[in-house]
Amino acid sequence: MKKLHVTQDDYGFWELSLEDDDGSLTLLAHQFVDPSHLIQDAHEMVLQGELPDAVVVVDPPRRQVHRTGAWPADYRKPAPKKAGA
Amino acid sequence: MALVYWTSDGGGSGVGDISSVLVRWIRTNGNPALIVNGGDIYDRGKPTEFDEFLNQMDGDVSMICETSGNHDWKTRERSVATGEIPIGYERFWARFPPPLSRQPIDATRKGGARYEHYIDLNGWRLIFLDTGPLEFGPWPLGDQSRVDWLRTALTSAPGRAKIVLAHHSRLSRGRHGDNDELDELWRTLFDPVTGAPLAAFTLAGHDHSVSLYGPRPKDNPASGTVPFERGIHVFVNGAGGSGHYTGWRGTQPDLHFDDDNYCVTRINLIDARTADVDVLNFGAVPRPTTQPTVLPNSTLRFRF
Repeated sequence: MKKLHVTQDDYGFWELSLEDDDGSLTLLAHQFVDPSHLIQDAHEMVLQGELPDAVVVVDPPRRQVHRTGAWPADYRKPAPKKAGA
Repeated sequence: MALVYWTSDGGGSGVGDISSVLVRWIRTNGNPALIVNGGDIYDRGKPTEFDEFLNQMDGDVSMICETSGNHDWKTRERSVATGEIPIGYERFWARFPPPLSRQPIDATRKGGARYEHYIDLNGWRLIFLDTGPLEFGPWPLGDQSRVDWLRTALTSAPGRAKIVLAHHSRLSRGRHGDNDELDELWRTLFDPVTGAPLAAFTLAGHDHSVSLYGPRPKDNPASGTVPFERGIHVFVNGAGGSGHYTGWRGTQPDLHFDDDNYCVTRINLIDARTADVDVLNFGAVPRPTTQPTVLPNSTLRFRF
């Protein structure tokens, strides 16, 4: 079963990952300061038929990302990630 | 010389303050003649979210017009007089009619046609289209007058010194990918008899990434690049502040793709036969002190 995971990376930014039927993970989006856009994206992908059978899994927030002045200078694109990991 | 700047997909709530960093740099360092916001005031284009956008623009939209995006259209209303419209977008820009902004509203028209306009600048014509409600139906949503208007806008001034700007792009790489629903619009950009291209390039956002394509033909634009005499360049830059989409789907750009950095597209309209376009890279963590660099392979020179 495909899953769309909305999770936080090590910096606190939100990312969206696709878990395929074989368990492989693909990063679809990253560096969002708020999860709502990605949750909306994930549900649209299901409802609009892009991934009609996918399940959306969302992690609870662990930390808040501050304004850009406090963003980590060493930010790098994260690896894809499962919720609950 | 007139400098036009494009940023997209970065205003409203829940997006941080990247859009402020970008627009402040443009105003301070860029000598702009026009700033185009490519649309999407998050999350749903509500009046309160447009107020946040106004704060992000430091209370000044006098240089700005906005091609509405799908998020602007999430708050919509219908009336006999206006047809279906994005009500937060309409009310916001109605508060700032030109010259308080560069975004007109044509109250004689209905639906998205109310916001479609063009600006002639230094011999070039910038044509702004409303593709915001694409998820409800393809442009022009059954309104043939919009196709006629676009054809007139493309042909009433001679030459190809024309740019078509909208929220959605015919080709795109990212979470969203190509928009096949825009094929009628795309085909309208070519002479119906000769097939000759009528514009130099299109510019859009929607995918939060940067995709740059060589000239694409009227038929099957995803098939590859053709000589400029037979095709139109496709530029996408939705990297204006609300995170990044990776290159998951959509036509692979042949010139450049970026899903790591926040970017502004700069268009230098030199004269009626000459323009330069490039993409300014503010990095993954823009600061108020950041000085952008030009993204590799992003510089295109138009010489007619």
